Amino acid sequence: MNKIHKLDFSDRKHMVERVGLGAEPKIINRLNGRTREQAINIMLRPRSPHAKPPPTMTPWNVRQNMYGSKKPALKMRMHKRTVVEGDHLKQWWVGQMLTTESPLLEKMTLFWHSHFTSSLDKTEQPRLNYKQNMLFRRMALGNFGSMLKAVAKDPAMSIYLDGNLNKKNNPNENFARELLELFTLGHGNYSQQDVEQTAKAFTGWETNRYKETHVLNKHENDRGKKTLLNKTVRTGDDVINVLLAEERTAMTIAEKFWNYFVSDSAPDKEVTDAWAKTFREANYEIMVLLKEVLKSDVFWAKKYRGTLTKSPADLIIGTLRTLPFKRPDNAELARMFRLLGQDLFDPPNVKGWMGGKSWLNSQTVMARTALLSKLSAGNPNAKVALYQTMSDNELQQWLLPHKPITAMPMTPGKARLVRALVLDPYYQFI
Amino acid sequence: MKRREFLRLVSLGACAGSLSSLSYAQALASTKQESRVEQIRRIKKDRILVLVELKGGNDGLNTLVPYTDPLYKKLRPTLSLSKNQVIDLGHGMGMHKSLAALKPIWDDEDLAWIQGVGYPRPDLSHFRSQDIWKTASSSDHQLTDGWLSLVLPEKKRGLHGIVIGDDLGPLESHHCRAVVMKDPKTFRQQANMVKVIRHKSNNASLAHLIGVQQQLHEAKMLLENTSGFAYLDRYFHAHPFQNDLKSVAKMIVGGGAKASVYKVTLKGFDTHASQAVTHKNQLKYLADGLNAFATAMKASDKWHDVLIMTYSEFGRSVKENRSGGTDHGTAAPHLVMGGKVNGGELYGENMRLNDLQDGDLVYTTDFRSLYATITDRWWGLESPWQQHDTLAFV
Repeated sequence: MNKIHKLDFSDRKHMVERVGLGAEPKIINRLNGRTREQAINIMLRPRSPHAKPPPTMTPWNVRQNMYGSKKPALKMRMHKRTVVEGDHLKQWWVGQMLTTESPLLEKMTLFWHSHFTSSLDKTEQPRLNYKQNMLFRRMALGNFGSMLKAVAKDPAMSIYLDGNLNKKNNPNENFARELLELFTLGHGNYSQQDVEQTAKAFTGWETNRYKETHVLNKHENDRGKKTLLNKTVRTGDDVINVLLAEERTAMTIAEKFWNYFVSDSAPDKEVTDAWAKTFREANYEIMVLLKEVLKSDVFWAKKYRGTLTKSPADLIIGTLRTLPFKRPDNAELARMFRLLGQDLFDPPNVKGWMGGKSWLNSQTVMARTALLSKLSAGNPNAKVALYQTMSDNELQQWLLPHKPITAMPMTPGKARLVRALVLDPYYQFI
Repeated sequence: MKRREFLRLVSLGACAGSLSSLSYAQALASTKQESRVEQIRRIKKDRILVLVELKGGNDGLNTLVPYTDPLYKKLRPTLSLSKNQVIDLGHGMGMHKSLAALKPIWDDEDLAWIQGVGYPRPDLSHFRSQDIWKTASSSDHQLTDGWLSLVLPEKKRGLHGIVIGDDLGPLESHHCRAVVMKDPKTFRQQANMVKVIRHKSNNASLAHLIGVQQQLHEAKMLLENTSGFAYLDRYFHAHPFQNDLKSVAKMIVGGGAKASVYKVTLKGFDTHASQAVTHKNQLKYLADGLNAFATAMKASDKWHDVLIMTYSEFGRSVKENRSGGTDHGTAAPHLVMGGKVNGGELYGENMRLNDLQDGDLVYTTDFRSLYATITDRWWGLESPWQQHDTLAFV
């Protein structure tokens, strides 16, 4: 396809689904008659990061006092309340995804939540995890370097990776290791000594539980010289600057973007290295990287269509934003996320969600099938206004990346056809 | 093999020579009746391995404790366990007191510890080290297929393994037929909705999905007869880990699945802070769960068919940190148990606290020796890890 030509229906569906949550007819129509570049500009047009007000959550300090209580009943009550507040927070995000006017922002917030993970399971402070989510929301399409620095000071992260416990005379390596291994360089690009030196640079980075903000405890901060990747550093910010100067850092993000926007397959290094170069030279502006990805031939290539496994968010939220199915309540949706392996605010481990093929195992394939079967149930002969405007062929192009591999119903009826398409294996991919 | 097992075996066939000096292999060789050998081989192939993953990196030093070593107290001023906090196992070693439920099994000589399990050039990353254990790779070599895929396809047709949990781990491979589930009952209900599709595709993700659907279908057919066995409920308490073990027990006793491997996971061993209480609880969950499982197996006459083994991505730092916890470390002891385990013994050399490498323990038993032992001595198959010696624990 020529770049200046207008996008056809399947291109528009492709873009809307990969950049947003679901193949929303409203947005597909918005791109009607546009070229690639115009479509990219429309999809990336900044929208308000507006989020609904959060549920009520107990402040850290109050909670901590109750956890520390000598009365077991009080302690138990607090633990129970933590679970309830955590569930409310999960439901809040699900509701946000379902109703947002900027699905891309939700998709990117989810991306950073998986990259810089923290889990309620460890923090036991829903309010701090909420604040971290707001940080991702604000910075999701901003500057990666600034976000990295903010994350290093984020209270939920400090609890999650024991930053609060990283002391001058007894460094705790948890945050330092993941900073190098997962957030920036990637495994194999640093030594154990680099981890130790990094840990020292972050000693004394604590959080004030009354203000729920970062503080530097000078008594616990090692101000001496450290060597990281053969460079001399003193502070945590120095460490981050050194890491940002490394091309591996940009590559890590570029490779993750490949797996988030292009394909489950291993990144084409030639392509992602070029993205990484642009990203780093643009001082880590995330929007520049995203534009680079969406402009690339690999993003549009037919050979990569249908090779990206839908995440639970793509599947659950995407389906409900696309098709006029009855919407379960937010509590039920949050439960579905968990069953499908993407328990929001509670990733399986510090590596976040692996994504790709790992979304599909015997457990989750069953849960996905049950979910879609339930959502698409109903009178197969019903006249659904949205479907009536489309031919059978268009319905298929709208819902699947390729022709179905299961047999479609012989009996006419668009609702019947939609159900069969949704249950086709190709519906699991974009 | 235990002496009583051995005697039972040799009494089956004509056997000459001094019994006590004969090895198991010699006993087999001297058994003239070929059919008997065949029979034993077949029995071995029906044997089951139950893997228990201790996720997060279990602190070996406070599990099997060198409590008599003065260096241990010195390196762990607050976390070290004293004499009255351990169960003495001899040789200056003791089990954490939370493992009390395992003591009767140890006394029955059905439980053994393997000390210092690790590998050269240890990696301190959770994920990398989990991958190393999963694939049996060396630390500077990346592999993708789980270690059991090198063994099980040779062993049997049909379903190879069932994982209660999140991922296939050591069973992950195109060559393995294995499924992941939360529990068998939900599994049967949900698997009924999944269609089987025959379709060849170059799209690796789609091919993966179709493969999963195929395995679900096969597993469902096999598990059809494993409902019931409610009598097993009484052995287990209401704890997530015990629920998982109960599911495994029912599938083993039900017999329909005939899987060679079952895997369960106990999470929560990444004790960077306030370890004393957390670790104490974790080990209690472990011991109580394994004790319940052993009791259920004995009551079902399956105790001699199962071998249970724990593993974990690494042990923890020798020195405690100032958060009252320990950081990622290297080698650690692991336990094996089952009716055929030559138990009541410590295998492998104990790790030396006075000979650390970069402050960490140096392994004394390569983890692939455990895999080789299971393959060779438990299943009677040729081990792909020939350079690693087998151990006599089974």
